[in-house]
Parts: sequence; C-alpha cells; structure tokens
Amino acid sequence: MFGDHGMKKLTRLLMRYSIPLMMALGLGAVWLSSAKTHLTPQAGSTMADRRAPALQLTDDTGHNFNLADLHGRVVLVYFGYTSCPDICPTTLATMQAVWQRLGAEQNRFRLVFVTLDPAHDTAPVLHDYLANFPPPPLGLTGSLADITEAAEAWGVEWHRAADPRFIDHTSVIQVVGPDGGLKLRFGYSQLSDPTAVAHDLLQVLHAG
Amino acid sequence: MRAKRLHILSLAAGILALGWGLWGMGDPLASMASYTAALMTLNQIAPPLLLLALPRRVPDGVLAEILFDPVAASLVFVGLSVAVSLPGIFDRSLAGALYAAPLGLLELIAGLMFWAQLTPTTRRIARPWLAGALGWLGSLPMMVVALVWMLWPDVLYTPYLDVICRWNVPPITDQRWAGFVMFLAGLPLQFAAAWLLLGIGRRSETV
Repeated sequence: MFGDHGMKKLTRLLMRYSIPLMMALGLGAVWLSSAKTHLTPQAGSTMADRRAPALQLTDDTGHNFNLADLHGRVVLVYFGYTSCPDICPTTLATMQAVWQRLGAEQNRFRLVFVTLDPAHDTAPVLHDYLANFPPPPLGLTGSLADITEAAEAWGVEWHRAADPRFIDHTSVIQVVGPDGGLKLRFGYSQLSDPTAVAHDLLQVLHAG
Repeated sequence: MRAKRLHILSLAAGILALGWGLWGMGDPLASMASYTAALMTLNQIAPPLLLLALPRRVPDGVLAEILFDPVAASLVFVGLSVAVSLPGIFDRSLAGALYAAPLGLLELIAGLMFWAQLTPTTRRIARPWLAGALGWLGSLPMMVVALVWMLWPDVLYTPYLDVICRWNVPPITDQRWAGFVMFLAGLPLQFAAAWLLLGIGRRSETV
C-alpha cells in the first residue's frame, strides 16, 4: 500500500517520534488502567513499594505487639492520641463506617492506633478510649523513646503544640498489605467516602 | 585545557544533581515542595549540566534524530508538563495513578530532550533565535503550572491536604513553596532561551 519509499518514510517518522509516542502510550495506559480498575476512583494514595517499618510496642492489654504477627492480614496503622480534640476521633469514627462496608472479610483487617502521648495513654486508658469505636482498634503504647522511634520510622511528624495539652501530628492512615508491604495511605481528607476507602482496602486484600 | 576542565566540572555537577534528584524521589508523599524539587532537579538542573559536559557536537545519525528532534522534544516536554500537572488538578484518581508511573525517569528524558534544543553540542535548529523561541514557548506551560500552584487559594492535591510535611508547614504553604520551586527551576531555561533569542552570544563573538 505504501511502497518501499513510503514504508521507509513511515519507519523514519515512527523512529523520530518514538519517544513521544511511547510516552503517550505509557501515560494513556496508566490513565486507562486507573479508569478501568477503579469502579470508584481510588481514594488513597499509592505508596512506594517497600516493606512496612517494624512496629514493636505494647498493646492495650499489656502484651507485646509485633506487626509481623499480623502477616497475612491488612493492617491499618494510625498515630494519634486519646486527648486529641477532633482529628483522631473523627478519623476513628470514619473508619467505623468503612468497617461496615468490608462485609464478611472484616476479620482480615486490623486497625492499630499508636499513641503519641504514652505518658497519658497507658494501656488501660487506650483500651477504654478505643472501646468507643467498635470494632475497637488495637491500641499501642510504649516508652517515649520507642514511640518516637516508631513515629520516625513510619514518617509521622509530631510535636507538642503551643498549648501543651495538644499534639500536632501527621494524620494519616498507612495500609500494610498481607505481604507486609506498604500499599496505600489515606490523609484526613481522603476518608470522606467510606465506600471508596473500603473498596481500596478490599483491593489491597485481594491483591495479596 | 580550560574547556576540558569545564566539561569535567559540568559532568560532575550533572551527576551530583542526578543523584540528588533520584534520592529525592524516595519519599514523594513527604511534601509537595520536596517532591517537586526532586522532579525539577531531574528535569531542569541535571539535563543542561550533563549536556554541557559533552565535549563535541553529537554527530547526526539515528540516535540524534530520535533524541534531538525539536518537534519530538517539544511534544515530550510540553506533553509531560501538561499531562502530569493539569490532570492531577482536575482528576484525583489520575494523580494517584500517575504517582505510580516512573515520573522521575520521564522528567529526566523530557529535560534532556528539550535542553538539547538549546545546548551547542546537541542543538539541531540552525537559527539560534528559533531555538530560543522554541525554548521560551515550551517553558511556558511549566511556568503557568508553577503560578497556579503559587496562587490557587485551595490545596489542589488531596494527598497533601492536612498532612504536616517534613518542615511542619500547612499544606497550602507547602503547595505554594512547590510552585515557587518549579518557578525557580524554570528560570535557567527561560534565561537560556532569551540568550539565544536575543542573540547575545552571537553578538559577543562578532565584537
């Protein structure tokens, strides 16, 4: 149809514009994949593929906790404190709505709440506080040094506010997949649609 | 000898910039400003330094045709600026998907291809003023995005909303800093394009 000369010209043209063509195809594929695999838009932010940091603290029943023991489940890790006036309780309340949407696979998920105020949030205090958000998240506490180390490992910034009753902190739920890898993270504003959040979490579970 | 030393210095600086940019890509959700700085290092700082390190003109050939074609370079550079930044503003799910794409590598390739239109060893456009015009026009979308990030009243990227970033500033401030970083990063390209457009280099040769 093109003839030899025409084919040579076409080949030359394709080679010359190979990089923009590949880029357009690549970005198009990313866009299509995103549009196709998400019946609802993805609510959370995909995290770089790496193993979740270690998390070894004391749970709210006084026992040793190790994140590795929850291998095979999807673990949601949130750093907060019980005296938090708004963000923490709102986040936990929102997660209740998410949990209702996980259906029969609820027990494959676990939300852990790591306190940033270990002096105040002892195991019993944590336990009582978290009981207000059924199914209750697992509370984690420890020494200030251990909490500081954990927060740093998990990329959570925090410090005492000007009013020492309060702690300014990164409010983010980080999702660990069944394989122990970091998968998604949800900032406070990314939790506005519990259905979308539940959808994301189920995708993480089924991806393995 | 002096020229050789400059080439070596340029190469060393380019490799350092490349390394710093790649290292900065390690935690893209820490802060919009730091992520933008890493991307801009790969797109606007490393490429001219690496290209200026070339000791002689890259000969014409298949590779030069693919890498240094002005139309292809403009499509890649402008296309990437628009595809990465604007859909992210209007479509949250696409921003999330694009995060997973190898943005750092794309930015580096786009930067190398576009800067190659301006650097002497790789420029294929015969008339310097035309190369300058192309450079200036191609840089405009990026500068527009930078201004949007600096002036928009709301946080545009949901992942950064309500997150205390590494420097403990509010998300809107983080976004404005990101825009400023992008604006600053685009200035060398603007200056280089103006240099060629106004024929400053040529005038000094003829004096």
